[in-house]
Amino acid sequence: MSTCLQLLERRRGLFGAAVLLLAAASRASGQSYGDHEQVLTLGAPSFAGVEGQAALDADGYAHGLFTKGRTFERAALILPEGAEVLQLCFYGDDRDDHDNQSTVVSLRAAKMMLAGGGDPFVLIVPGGSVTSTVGAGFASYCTEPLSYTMRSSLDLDGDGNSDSVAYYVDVGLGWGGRFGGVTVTWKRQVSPVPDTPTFDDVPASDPAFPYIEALAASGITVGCGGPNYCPGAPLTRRQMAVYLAKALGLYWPN
Amino acid sequence: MNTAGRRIASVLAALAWTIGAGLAMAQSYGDQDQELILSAAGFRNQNLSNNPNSDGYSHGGLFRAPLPLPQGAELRQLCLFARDTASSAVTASVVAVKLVPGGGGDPAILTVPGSLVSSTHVGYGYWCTDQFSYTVRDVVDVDGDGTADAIAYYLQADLTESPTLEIGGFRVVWRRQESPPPQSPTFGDVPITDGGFALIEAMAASGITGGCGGGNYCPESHVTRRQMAVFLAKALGLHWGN
Repeated sequence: MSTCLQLLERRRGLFGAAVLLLAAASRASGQSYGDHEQVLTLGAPSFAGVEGQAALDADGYAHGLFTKGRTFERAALILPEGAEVLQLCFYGDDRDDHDNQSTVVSLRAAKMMLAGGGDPFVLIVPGGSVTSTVGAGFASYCTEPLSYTMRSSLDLDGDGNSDSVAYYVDVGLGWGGRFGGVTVTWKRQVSPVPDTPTFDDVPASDPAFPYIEALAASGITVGCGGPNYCPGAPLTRRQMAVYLAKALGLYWPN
Repeated sequence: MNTAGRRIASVLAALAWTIGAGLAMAQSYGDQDQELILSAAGFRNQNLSNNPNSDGYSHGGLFRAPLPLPQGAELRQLCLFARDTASSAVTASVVAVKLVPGGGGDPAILTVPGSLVSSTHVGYGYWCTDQFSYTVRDVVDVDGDGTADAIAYYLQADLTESPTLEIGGFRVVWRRQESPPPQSPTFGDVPITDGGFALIEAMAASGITGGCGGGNYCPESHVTRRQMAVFLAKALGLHWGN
């Protein structure tokens, strides 16, 4: 099959023309694909109580614990590998008569511990945390814009070993507060390039070098035979079908 | 060189993240292995007392988290992160739960073959199943009654007999697969023997292409920029701005 695919990929060219079309089609935010900004909303029901379980109101807002000064709620943040987190915003509501109950929202990366591991390591993502005093009534506030690339595997604690990493959003809710949810602004990114080019005819100086390397590393292309990719060759409809079906894992009807 | 040709990979590459040449690393698209890390924060205790500690670990009970993988994803391996202050058994698995329609019998729960991991330990632990292969489907005959069932998949950690044990999360290794082709070719010019048969059929079944007319696909024709736009916009569901 790999020989077939190499044959199939011998000529390709106009495929890349869609880049311009895609760019034109995705200027606004909120799409699922492309590399522009989009927003993921983690509503209050997505959160689990760390200290007590908040009660959900009919309007979707969740109560904090009134028996403690603060309630911690946590939601898993699941975004694709390489997603860049750009901002977190918190939506809250202070229902008691006391203003200025501080609420903390933070993006955290947690090391999954191996046997014999020391203390759990949880990193508050730099810039991914905001503390605010929510006055009476509904309010929202956001972190400053940030740039954090999510990776499922990285050396989180700096001990030289790669760790499996889980991400979550923590909300430390002030007394008397309710929270409606957290929005996460993020975007997809193309992966960083390898030190050594995979294909002889796509050197690091090629404008499409990072993109072609990303395709190769993802298993979507093996090139056009030998050590080459044939970047200037036109693309047949057969070849394009191979690209799309392999890339997207098409198609599994029920 | 053809500038457009140089950008061949750009569109899909924008969707496909990977780390250089590392095969064990994760990407979102393509058919290589990738990993999903789910922390305890994503799990709900079936005993309705989901109380992760401040460090993210969760105490006893039967914990489940939805496993959000695409139709046709191949599950490859399951690893559990946990810790125990004493020494007790824990089992972890992927379960497929039948959603019971009106008048249905008992809920059927299938433990996905190959996914079960069980161990005993003190302190932090990390256990993995052997590599296995299970294809995730939205509709499966879970209870073997000859009727397809709507299925929900869960990652499950059973801590009911392990009050001193806490889960930290799961690592799920999976990859995308191309779908199995139909028995009869859709297009007259793409027979089963065609090297791109299965992949072209996948495109057709997904509604991304209707062929080039006359029951054909014209596999050797080049793609125009117009056609490319149609293919991509349909494939990715572009574009829904706010």
